[in-house]
Amino acid sequence: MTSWAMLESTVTLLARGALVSLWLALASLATGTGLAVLLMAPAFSRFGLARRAYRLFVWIVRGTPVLVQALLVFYALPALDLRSGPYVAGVIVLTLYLGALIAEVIRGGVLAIPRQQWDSARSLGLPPGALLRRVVAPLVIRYSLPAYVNVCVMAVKASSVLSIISVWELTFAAREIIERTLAVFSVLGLAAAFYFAMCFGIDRLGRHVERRLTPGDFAGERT
Amino acid sequence: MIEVRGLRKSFGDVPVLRGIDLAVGDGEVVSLIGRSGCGKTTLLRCLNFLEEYDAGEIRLDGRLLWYREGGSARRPAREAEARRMRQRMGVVFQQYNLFPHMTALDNVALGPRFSQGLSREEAEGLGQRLLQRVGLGQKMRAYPGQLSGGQQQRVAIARALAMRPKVLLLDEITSALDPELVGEVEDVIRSLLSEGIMMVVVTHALAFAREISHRIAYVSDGRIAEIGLPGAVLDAPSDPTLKDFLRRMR
Amino acid sequence: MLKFQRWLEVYGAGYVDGLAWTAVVALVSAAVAVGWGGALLGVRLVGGRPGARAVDAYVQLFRNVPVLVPIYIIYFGFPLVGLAWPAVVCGGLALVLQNGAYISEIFRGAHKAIDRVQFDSAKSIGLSAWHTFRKVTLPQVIVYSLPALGNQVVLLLKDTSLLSAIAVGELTMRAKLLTEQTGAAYEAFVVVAALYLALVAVFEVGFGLAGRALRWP
Repeated sequence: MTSWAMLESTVTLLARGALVSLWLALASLATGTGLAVLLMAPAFSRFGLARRAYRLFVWIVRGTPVLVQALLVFYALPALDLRSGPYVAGVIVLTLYLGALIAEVIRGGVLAIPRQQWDSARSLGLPPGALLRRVVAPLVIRYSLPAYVNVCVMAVKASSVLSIISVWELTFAAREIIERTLAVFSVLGLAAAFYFAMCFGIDRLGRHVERRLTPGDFAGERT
Repeated sequence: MIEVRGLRKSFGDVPVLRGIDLAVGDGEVVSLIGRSGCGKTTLLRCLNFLEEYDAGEIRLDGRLLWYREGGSARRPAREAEARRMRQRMGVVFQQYNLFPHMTALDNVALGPRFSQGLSREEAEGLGQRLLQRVGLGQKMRAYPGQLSGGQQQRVAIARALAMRPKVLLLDEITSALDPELVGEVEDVIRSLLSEGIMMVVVTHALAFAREISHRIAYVSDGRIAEIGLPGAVLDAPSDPTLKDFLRRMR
Repeated sequence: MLKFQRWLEVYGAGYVDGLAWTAVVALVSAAVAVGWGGALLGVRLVGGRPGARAVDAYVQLFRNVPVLVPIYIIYFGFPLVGLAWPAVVCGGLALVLQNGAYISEIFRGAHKAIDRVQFDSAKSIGLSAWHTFRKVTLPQVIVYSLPALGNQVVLLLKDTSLLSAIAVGELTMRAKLLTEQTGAAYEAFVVVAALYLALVAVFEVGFGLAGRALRWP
């Protein structure tokens, strides 16, 4: 009796943790994508200084471990008198991290558009707003989708790092349970299964969306 | 001499060779012509056991190749045995023959050194002589990426010759070349005629086939539909599909 | 200037220590992971359908689970089955298992890039399977995988920071200790971030040089 109840409570707890991880990932993906779109301005700016600033930002975010970024933000917030707890720190860290990654994905997508399509687009003579919305954006989306889906999977995996700065999510929950019960393999195995389900699910969903958006051809391979 | 009897091969359900009988004498040059997909390349690949075949025999100077003598079950020869048999035949493919990470000399010397046990100096000496023979003595230390298509094919011929084969199998070796590079490769083949090497040449170049072949075989739908002297086959064909083929090739 | 000198004297050793640990763990794990990735490719090549399926499952598993999980499984779980290994070995093993999956895919892509005709050519000049592997396959796989391999090793380097969660004395662990010791809020992490950037740059330059040295014209 007791062991079934324990199993049930473990699974429920881990499921809740998984939901928190998923929520963290999705929220940060949303804000990160927003940040990435804003970063496209300096990325493609006329001014060399702006472009260099963009490259510096990306270089720093990609050249340092997420954990170090998380610890930095986590310890820096109270020092700057912004007390708001681990969740906010976590979302900030993931936003910056994913923002840089997604910015590079979008930039890559823009650069992957064949020259002729730019020429045809411009020859249509549309005003810049409509050009952007109706022609450029769909093309960029099509060419960056596979890499974007990869980043979504990375978001879920990165959320586990936040457990180290005391954000309660799946990995943190698993550790809590292990410290109490010592059922290492089963609990962590279950946590792994939850992560697998989420990441694999996102990957499959991504492929489905890709197929819908690009009938006929298929832009890019999945890494 | 090479004897092929009753060669059959299917890829899955699709029969590609439906019973090939062919004999090539010592020093003879036989060209295989035919439409794409008729099976001529598959036949060549079976000769060298780059493809397994389902039925039939291939004999070189009387010895059965590729499968073991006797017994009702069909068992491929052992790997070491197959390797030795392969060394009696040299193959040149349509493209991508050469190993890009080695110089022309290393490409040619590789086989003699590692399959025939020659020392490094002996193998390189042999390689040098053969490269000079095909007119590329100056390009010994060049990498394939630095050579033109025609030069690469000539190195590939040298590499095949380095194994001192009894027979050369050439699979459309000029088909992938820019037209102006075809001549230099054909010249090398011409120069080999005097050496009395057996050659089986798959080709689209009918004029060249007429010039160098003792016989031409027209392969159609997995069988040798017509075979004979070049003049007979090309100028006075009997097989209706061959007539059609020749008309289209003009 | 004097302040910096003093700071260097007091804390420098800690950073150097952490840096050394990070670099060594990264290099050793990378080397073993390359071997493991190569072994996985071997299984795929000679294991036929079941072999390929097994490797695919392995790769999918490690692709879809954050590396922190296997780190914890090995660190907390192995002592329970009698394998009381030091933390750095546990962490290193997890990194090897994880990165080996990605590296085997890199090798697989590099192997595919070799034109199939070359294998026919090798057969036609009578090369044995071993010689074909040694003289034809291996040199090309190495050169073709170098760029992606370099990327992967950099990722591995960054993942060593997670070993701080199991108390391995690498760079991030040092930063945490220093933060607690000195009460300085986040300076330690800024320094450590800079050190990681430097390490990454060194690795990238290293791989770039190796690539240029090994490539053929």
